[in-house]
Amino acid sequence: MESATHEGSEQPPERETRVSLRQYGALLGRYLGAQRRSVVILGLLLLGVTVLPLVEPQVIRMFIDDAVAGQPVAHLVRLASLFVVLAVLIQFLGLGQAWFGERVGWHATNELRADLARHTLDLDMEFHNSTTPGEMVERIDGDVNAMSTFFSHFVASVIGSGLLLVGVLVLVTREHLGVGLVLSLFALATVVLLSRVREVAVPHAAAERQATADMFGFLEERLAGTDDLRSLGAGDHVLRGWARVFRADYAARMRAERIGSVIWIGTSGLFGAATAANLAIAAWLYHRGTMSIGTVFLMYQYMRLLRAPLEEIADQIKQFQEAGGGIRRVHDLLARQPAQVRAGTHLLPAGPLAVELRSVEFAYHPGEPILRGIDLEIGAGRVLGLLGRTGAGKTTIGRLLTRLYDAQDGTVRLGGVDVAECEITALRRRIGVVTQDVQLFRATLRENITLFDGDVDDRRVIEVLHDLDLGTWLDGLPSGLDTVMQSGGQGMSAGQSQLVAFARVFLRDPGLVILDEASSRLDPATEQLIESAVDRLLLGRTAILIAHRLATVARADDIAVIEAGRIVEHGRRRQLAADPSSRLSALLATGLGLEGVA
Amino acid sequence: MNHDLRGREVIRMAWRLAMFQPRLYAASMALWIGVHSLPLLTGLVTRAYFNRLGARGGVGLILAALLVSELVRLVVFYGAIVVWIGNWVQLMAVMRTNVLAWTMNGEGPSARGTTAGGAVNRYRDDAEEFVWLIDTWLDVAGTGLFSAIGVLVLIRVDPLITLVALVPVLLSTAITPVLTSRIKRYRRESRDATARVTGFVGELFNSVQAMKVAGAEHRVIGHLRVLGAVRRDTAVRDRLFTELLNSVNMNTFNIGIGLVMVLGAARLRSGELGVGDFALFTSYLNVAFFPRWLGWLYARRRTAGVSLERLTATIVGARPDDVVAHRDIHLRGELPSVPQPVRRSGDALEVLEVRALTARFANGAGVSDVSLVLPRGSFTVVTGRVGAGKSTLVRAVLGLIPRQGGTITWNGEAVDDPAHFLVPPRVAYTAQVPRLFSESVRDNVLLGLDPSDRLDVALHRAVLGPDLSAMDQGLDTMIGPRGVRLSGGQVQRVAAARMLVRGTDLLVFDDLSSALDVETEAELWERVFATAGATCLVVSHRRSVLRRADTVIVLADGRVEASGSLDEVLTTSEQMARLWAAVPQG
Repeated sequence: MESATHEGSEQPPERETRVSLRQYGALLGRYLGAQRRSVVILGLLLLGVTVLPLVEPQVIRMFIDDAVAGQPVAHLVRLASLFVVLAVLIQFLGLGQAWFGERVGWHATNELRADLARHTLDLDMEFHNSTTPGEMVERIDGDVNAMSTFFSHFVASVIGSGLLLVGVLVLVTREHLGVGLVLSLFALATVVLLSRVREVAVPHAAAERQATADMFGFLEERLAGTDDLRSLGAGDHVLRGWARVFRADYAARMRAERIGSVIWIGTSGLFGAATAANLAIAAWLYHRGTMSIGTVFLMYQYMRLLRAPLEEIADQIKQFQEAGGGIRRVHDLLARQPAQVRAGTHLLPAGPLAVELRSVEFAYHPGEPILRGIDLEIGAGRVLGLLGRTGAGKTTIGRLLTRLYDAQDGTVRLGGVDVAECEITALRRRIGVVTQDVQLFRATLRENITLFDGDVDDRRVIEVLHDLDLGTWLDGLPSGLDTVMQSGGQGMSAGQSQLVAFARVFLRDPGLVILDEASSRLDPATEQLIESAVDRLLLGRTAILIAHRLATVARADDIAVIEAGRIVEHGRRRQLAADPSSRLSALLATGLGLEGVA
Repeated sequence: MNHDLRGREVIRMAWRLAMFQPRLYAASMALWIGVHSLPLLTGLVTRAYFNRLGARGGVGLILAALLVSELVRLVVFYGAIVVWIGNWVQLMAVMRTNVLAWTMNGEGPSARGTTAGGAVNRYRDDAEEFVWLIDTWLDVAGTGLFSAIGVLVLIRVDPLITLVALVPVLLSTAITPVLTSRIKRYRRESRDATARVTGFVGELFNSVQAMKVAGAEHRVIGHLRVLGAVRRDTAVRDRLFTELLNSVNMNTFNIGIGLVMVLGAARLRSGELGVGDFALFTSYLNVAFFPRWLGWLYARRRTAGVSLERLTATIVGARPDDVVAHRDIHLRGELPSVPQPVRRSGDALEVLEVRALTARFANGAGVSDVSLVLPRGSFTVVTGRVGAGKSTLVRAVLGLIPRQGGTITWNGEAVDDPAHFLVPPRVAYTAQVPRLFSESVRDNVLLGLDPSDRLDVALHRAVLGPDLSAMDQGLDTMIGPRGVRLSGGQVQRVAAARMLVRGTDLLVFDDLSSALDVETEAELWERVFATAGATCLVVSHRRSVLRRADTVIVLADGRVEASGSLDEVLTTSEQMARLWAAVPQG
């Protein structure tokens, strides 16, 4: 990300944080603790899957030694059958383990995804303005996916492999102290080596993930703008940008892969050496007559058994790196806190809310003030039309009232209460906002209107749609309210999408309504059609109508004109319209006013 | 858009892609065959160790050979990983670049019907899924060679035991396809569930502000949990069957060993079979895992087909061949150049004619039988109510959505592929909701065009001067993702500037005014009109715009209700009269 908006107020938590085992542990405890029973069953299965393979070589040793010693064939066949039964049992337990492991892992990561999405949603707008949705998909889903490997594979594999490792070492030591010691030393060296290289590998894996996130972030933004780009003949420009991000991703990836495979090779090399040493000692002991050929084979089998967990660990290191990168980025995201104070004790009064702004100063970026000392009062239940050129600061006032941003100086009061002292959710529950940008979800029409609130009565939703003159449209839909909307509103005009946004507010009972260019994509006839509905919405509520079209503010009681961050005119609409020296009159008189009001 | 790829076709496509860099793939193949078949050597060395031990001989040389064979294996392994991963990433890039290039530059309209987030998912996962097939070939070749040589060696040791021990392997080869086709289905479901989750997360973070203001955070998270639960169930089923397949192979291996023990007991007892031979069996019976690779091959051929279909379906008019076609991915050297549009004499607009245009969506919405004529220097306004089909009309004319009927002619010559022809240097367009990108203002306006004196003119005409001087870095100001640092009006004017800078005769504006104040918009129109030869097709219902119109086209329910001068349509069209009257007179 080009950090265009990073210079703002927030702390930049992207610094190199090393993920300690404690952090892994904390995440594990938090997300596995809730499913203790499943985890216990999983543990038992894991134990079975680990211990039984240790028994198999013992059976084979007995088989070989007894065969060489000339025991009856029937006895040997019994041993062979025992071996097969054990082997099949292990596979069954393994299936159970996979099933439980997968469930536990998905459960945990889904929880993590939801928590992460929720936490991220609550971050300040400064954060969201510096990230693309594509990047967020990668950080909330991609990073957590890498972690799901950590939950479902790594934990099971590494714990299982650890148990197996200890089991093998104990059994080998029981056969021969010296061989046991050599193997233990070898295992210890491998573990130390692996834990060292992990630290080397994690930053490269994180860099790779970031490069991948950038690559797909680029792609998402460009794909969302396909029509713009195509119709402007900018396809080759996009391909050039794509080549640039892909090249960066390729380099990061190859670096990470090289380091990952060196780790693998190192472990395997160590293993090869240990096998040779083990076989050398065993041969020596056999020649001295202190070890049977069956036991040599047992050693060989155990060595092979050891190979699986060690290579498994080495294999999982790559996944572990990914999870490490993922966990670090998840951790960074969770560590990021909104600068805004969300909690508050003050409650807003019921009914229409008076609005009061006193000497409000605000800038999105230092040195670029948007509001320069705004004083504005709207009586409870009055409708204010807020006029001004684009960029004058109209929308910003609405954002301060809903606390998407907090004023840097001055106070913003709603119903006499300083909004900074209100709990954010409670505050927003009392404000209804319609803007011109509407995102539809790939979900049912009902869910799009209620925003996934299952408690809203269907009749109420249908009533609202009829009020908004969408009755005929609704009747034409194949499954009515259950019709699944296409994201991006395909098959729906921008105007119809905007009516859906109206419907969202109509379902609520706000004390303040802010319509920010809410009807700009509606044609005048539709606007007129929903007029009575909007009148009803505004009845008994305070409202701010933000508009550049004079017609839109025709229903306002008062008019305020904002220019370069200052209120330059404020008064009753009729009085201002009647006063030939007012700015409103000037606007009406420019001839453009024919579209106007008064 | 179902291509229904047959297995052979999928293999042909995959082979074509694999041959993107034949030498790199050949090297990968050789190295992976090495990785898989070097254990043959290890097995023989182990056999020699035990047999020699049984004969009470020295094993020093044998152990040295063991070390060497292991070392060779590791070196080969490192090479195999590095060479193949590089190849692998490049093959995915070829597919992704093909789809992107086709989406951006291809013939016909760009297909949609999926979220940008969902489309990213296809670029990410489907390309990878397809290349997995090419990856599997390496493993099948390697394990195949191992199995063939392994079986031959075992037959030489003991043909009877070998053949009997191979029976379960043959049986598992029969079961494998049944399981893999199931796995394939479950995997598809799991992928769809994943796409729904990622699509939703994308939508969610596209509308953070609205969700915050509506206080809907916990509810949308609730929906995310529901989608997550579906995804979990599909993924668990997928995993369970994959494991089942694995355990079938593992069991054949174990039962094979068991059979060797049963049949070999007597011969081992009599000393006809050495402990080393037994060790060789346990090591070469890895042959039991060969059906697993065959199963993977089978399953991946299916999933690769599905993935290729899905990728092909994202682009209209493309065939699977186009997705795997070889192309320079510009891994090294100069980045691809951006050819500058050159204006030729025929590019000057004399007249654009649209006859009987029909473009309908699957749900019936759209436009039917619309005709219009845009002579040079004219100003045509399309108006109508919400949902009347105004945007659909201009987008169909420009070829951004498919049309089912109608002809378009440019200076009398038929335009077959408007998406390719009605672009700069002839036509430029600004969408109703223009999309900007996280780059600087300059890059957003130019979009790869060489900076020229036209830039300043375009910025002036788009009335961006005062805004730019207020930004501390002027044209170099980074505007954030989708242009969030800009106000709605600024976004629209940057979009207007990037259209105007292209110096086209025909300008198509879809509702430019929705975020502009009256004065700014009036200023912008004045400046656009000052351009010689400027011809405009505009969607609007603003009176000041309608007043300028030479022709007003009134759309109702996707059809032309009236067209003519403003005065004419006001008298002939009831709809227009209503639209006009809806604005209170001042």
